[in-house]
Formats: sequence, C-alpha cells, structure tokens
Amino acid sequence: MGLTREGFAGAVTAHSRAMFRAARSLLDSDADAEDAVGEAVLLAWKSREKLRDPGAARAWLVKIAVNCARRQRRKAVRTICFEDLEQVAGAGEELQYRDLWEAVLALPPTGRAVVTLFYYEDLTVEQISRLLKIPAGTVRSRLSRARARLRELLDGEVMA
Amino acid sequence: MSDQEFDARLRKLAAAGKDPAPAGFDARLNEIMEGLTMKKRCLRTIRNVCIAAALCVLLAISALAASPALREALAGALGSFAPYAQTIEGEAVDQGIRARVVSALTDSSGLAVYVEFTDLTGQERLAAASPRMSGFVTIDRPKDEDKPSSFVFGWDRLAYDGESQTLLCVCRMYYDILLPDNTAGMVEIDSLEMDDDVIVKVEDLDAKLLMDSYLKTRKLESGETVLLPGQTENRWTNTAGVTLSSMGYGEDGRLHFLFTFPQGVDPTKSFVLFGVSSKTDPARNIAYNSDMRNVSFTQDGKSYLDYSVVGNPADREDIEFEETYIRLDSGVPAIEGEWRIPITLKKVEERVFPMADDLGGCVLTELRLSPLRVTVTAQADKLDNGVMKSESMWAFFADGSRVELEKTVSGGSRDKPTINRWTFPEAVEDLDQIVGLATGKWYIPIEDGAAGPGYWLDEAPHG
Repeated sequence: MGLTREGFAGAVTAHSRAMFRAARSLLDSDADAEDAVGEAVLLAWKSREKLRDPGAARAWLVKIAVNCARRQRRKAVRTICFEDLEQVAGAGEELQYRDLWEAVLALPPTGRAVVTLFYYEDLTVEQISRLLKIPAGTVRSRLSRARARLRELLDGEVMA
Repeated sequence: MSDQEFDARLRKLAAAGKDPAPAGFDARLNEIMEGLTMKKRCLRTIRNVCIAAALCVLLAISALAASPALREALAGALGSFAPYAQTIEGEAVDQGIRARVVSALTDSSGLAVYVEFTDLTGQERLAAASPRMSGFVTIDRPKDEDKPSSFVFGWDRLAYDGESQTLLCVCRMYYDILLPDNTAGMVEIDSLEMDDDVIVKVEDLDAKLLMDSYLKTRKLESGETVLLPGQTENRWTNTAGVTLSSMGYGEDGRLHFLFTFPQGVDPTKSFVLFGVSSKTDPARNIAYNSDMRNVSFTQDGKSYLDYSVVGNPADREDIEFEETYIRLDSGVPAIEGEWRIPITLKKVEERVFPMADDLGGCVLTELRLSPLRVTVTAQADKLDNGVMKSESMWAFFADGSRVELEKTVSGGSRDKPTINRWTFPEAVEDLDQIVGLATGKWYIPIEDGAAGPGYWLDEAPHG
C-alpha cells in the first residue's frame, strides 16, 4: 500500500530512532549512522509503493536503514576484521555503564548489531539472521557473547 | 539472574533508554524530507515550462518498428508467451527521452509492460548496465475501491541497442485486486537512474588460480602501478558484464586484479569491494587489507580498473578472497522527467473456477488458470497462510506430464482476500489439459469444469 507524503513523513519521524539505532549498531560513528539514515529515507521514499502494510513501516524502515549501513560499511576503503576487534574490545579499560545504549556501543560491532535488533527491535534470532544475512547459529553465539559482556558492562544498580 | 530474566530486564531498559540520536538529528532529517517535497515541486515547474515549449508531448501513434536487435530481444524475453502478448501503442517524450510501450502481457492477477526508451539527443545516456526506473503502471480501479492501491512491481533491463540508442525494459506489476478485461492504465515514469551507485555481487574470485610468478605491470603517469591486460586465463564467469582481464602478483609488492566493465560504466567512478583473508592467522588480515587501491586507466582505447591489495607470492597458499562486490557507476546523473502513457490492458484467455476448500481457517475461494500463471484467491485470518505460502506448485496434465511453477507474489490488503500467484515456466497452450494442481501437499483436482474439493497428499510433489 503506497504511503502518502504525510504518511511517509509521519512514519519516518516515528521510527527515526529505531533506524538510527540499527544503523549505528553497524557503523562506528553517529555521523556515519546519520548518513545511512538519510540515505535510507531517500531510498524508502523512492520505493514507498512497496510498503504494502502500513503497520509494517517500522520493520520496513529499519530494514532499509540496516541495508544502507551495511553498504556504507562495505564502501569503507579500510577493512577491519570484526573478530580481531572483538578481541581488542575485550582488552580495553573496564567501565561500568548506567545506560544500556552506552553499554551497547561499547560492544564489538558484531555484538552491537544483534543486541540492538534483539533488545530494541524485539526481532527473533531467525529475523536477525535474515536481516543481517548471517546464519542463525552465528546470531545465537554473538548474542550469547554480547549478553555475557553486557552483564559485565552494566552497572549492578541498573540491573537490580 | 537467568538469561530470560536478563533479556526481560534489558528489553525494559531498551524501551526506557535515552535518545540515541545526536543533537540536530531531527532538524537534519526534516531537511531531507522537505527536500523530497521541494524536489518534486521544482520538477513540476520545469515540467510546465517543458509543456509550454512543447518538449513534453504525448502521442498515440502507429507502432514504429523496433530495431531488429530489440525486436529479437523482445521476442526472446516473451519466449513461449509471445502469442499471448498484446500489441500496444503509445509514447511520451520528455527530457530528450522517448518512452514507448511496445507490448504487454496481462491476466487477472498481474501484468508485464514492455517499454522502449530511446535517447533522442544522441548522447548515449541510456547505455548503462543496470538502469533503475522510478515508475510503475497505475490502473483505474473499480468505483467501490476507494482505498489506495496495494501493489508490488519491478523493472528489468532486457536489452540495449547502441545503434538506435534504445533501451528495452519490462515493468511487472501485481495488484491487490483481480483485473477486469480492458482495464485502463497509465504507465507513469518519473526518473531514469543510470547506474548511479549500483553495487553488484559478482562471482567470488578463487585464490587457487593465482600463480606464484610475477605478472607484467606498467607504471602510469600518475605513478601508480597496474597490471597489463590479458595475462591470465580467465576462468571467472563474469556477472553484470564485468570481466577479469588479469589477476596476480606484481613486483611492486601488491596483488592486482584487473577488471573491464560493460559499456556505459565509468571506471573512474566505479570501484571494487572485497578483502583478503588469511586461512591461518586472522591477525594477518589487517596487514593484507591495510592498503586497498582502485586505479582506473585506459589502454588501447579500452578502459580498465586495477584493484590491488598488499601481497606477494609467498602469501599465495595462505590467502582466500572474501565476497566480491563491485560498484558500477555510469557517472551519469538520473534523468528526471514525466513520461505518462495511457494504455488499455487486454487480458489473455482464462478459466475461472469457484472453490470452497477450507484449509483450517484459510478458505480457497477461486482458482484462475491462464496461459501465464495460476492464481488462487483465499480468504484467511492472516495475510500469510500455510498452504498459500508454499513456494512450489505443480500442474498435472491429462497426458501424465507435469510442470513446476514458480511462486510469484502473494498477498493483498488487510480485510481482503489474498491473491496467490504461481507462474508457468512456459506458456500453457491448452488450459483444458490441466487436470490438477498441487501446492505443498494440497492437491486440487480439476475435472468436469470444476476445481476441488482438494485433499492432502502423503507427500508434496518434487522434482
């Protein structure tokens, strides 16, 4: 079902945080994530007729934002091995966070993406697997590692 | 705290968390959205001028013959469906581009409209490998349908004829209603994007094909070192028109890949995206990928792109290549305009069978057979339901043969029946020869002019 211009703007405004969070979970800076969201809005506008169920606008916009962020990540000239980063991330200064999002940003990129989609977007492992194009088993293992890391990173009072 | 309790707590924290967006995010996002509106307004202003200058004209003409190459391409695209194609005429010209509808294939549940785009300015603006059309076919809806139409669509490039500078494309449309015959429609196109930032996934390169000897290189005036073309056997089956001219180590301490691109792609604006991985030590990946370079150059009138990473023959056994992506860019900005072509869609012959099969809350209400596809209308509590989600459908014929159909598009608007489609691989000339259909394990017999009631098979048919 095609969205009207007003409907489209309303949907983007309502779900812009979800789009930003999903993009940021895959990219290394707020600025990059904002660029990805901007590109996603343009792409979504062009293909708005493809949105057949307005109730699915959030999932549709988040999916486009994720794809834009993945593409932006691939475009980067330098390539960083996530597994390496994961090891480096674990060796950093131990901080305790009172805010979940700050703790999520302290995770390695592989963990950030699955945690964001799992906790913030309430997606299932299978849905995350399809969206990120990685096997469900990998999603589970990344989620498990990220969960363990978040237990360490989050302030005890926050979890009480 | 168990994992389940932890997850529940984190979901609560997520719902109540602070705003992740940076300062000014909303204002910048609003600018983007206002820009969408403004762009449209500007376009209309320009269009009005164009109309006043008689640069945008809509003509109903007798069909001009397509070039022989495109006529052949159209025949190839239609294949066995050609006898069912509607000859259709109509064209619109804007921005120096003529859009002309040349053929259509329509049944109740979908249509394919074949459109030629010709660059009348002689600037070869349509030669890109993967153009994207922003446009679709709207239809006049029945009077009781006051809701916005729901549909999915897609454009495909079929062929480009350089001599006539004409691009042949097809637009496939599926709506949330079944089309009556002689439906009035409008081909509406707003922009032609010529490969601006198209990233294609091509066949992965095989590191086993690397030789341990050095290949010949040359130094460009810019100081960059690139491979000479045609030095290695090309066992790489290209996709998207990209070919691999040479692949190997240069004496500059780098591993090079030399690509050529299809006509219309600008190598200076295109680039290759893939990394090199170590089979034995992930820590080496950073070194392998520390300095990726894309260098475009022209040799003997042909354009090349040399992609290189750090490497020497000693690494040959250790490395493998990641998935290969290539950004193809024609360097040509999108052509924005307004092409509107009214058409009247004539349907192919169909057989319509009322049905009443109840599959546990999903009632199949109608079956339609056309030479193009099978369409099943179903009434269900949810848009997606079990049997109708089946990817596979088999059609069984009176002579004992059978064919597998391809799932096309299912769905519809809320509170309406779903329309489920499967397309025949080849046109079915005699629909009366179809004696049954199976989707998943559900078998629908067709005999004596009636379809159903269906029944469950022990197992779903397979190839």
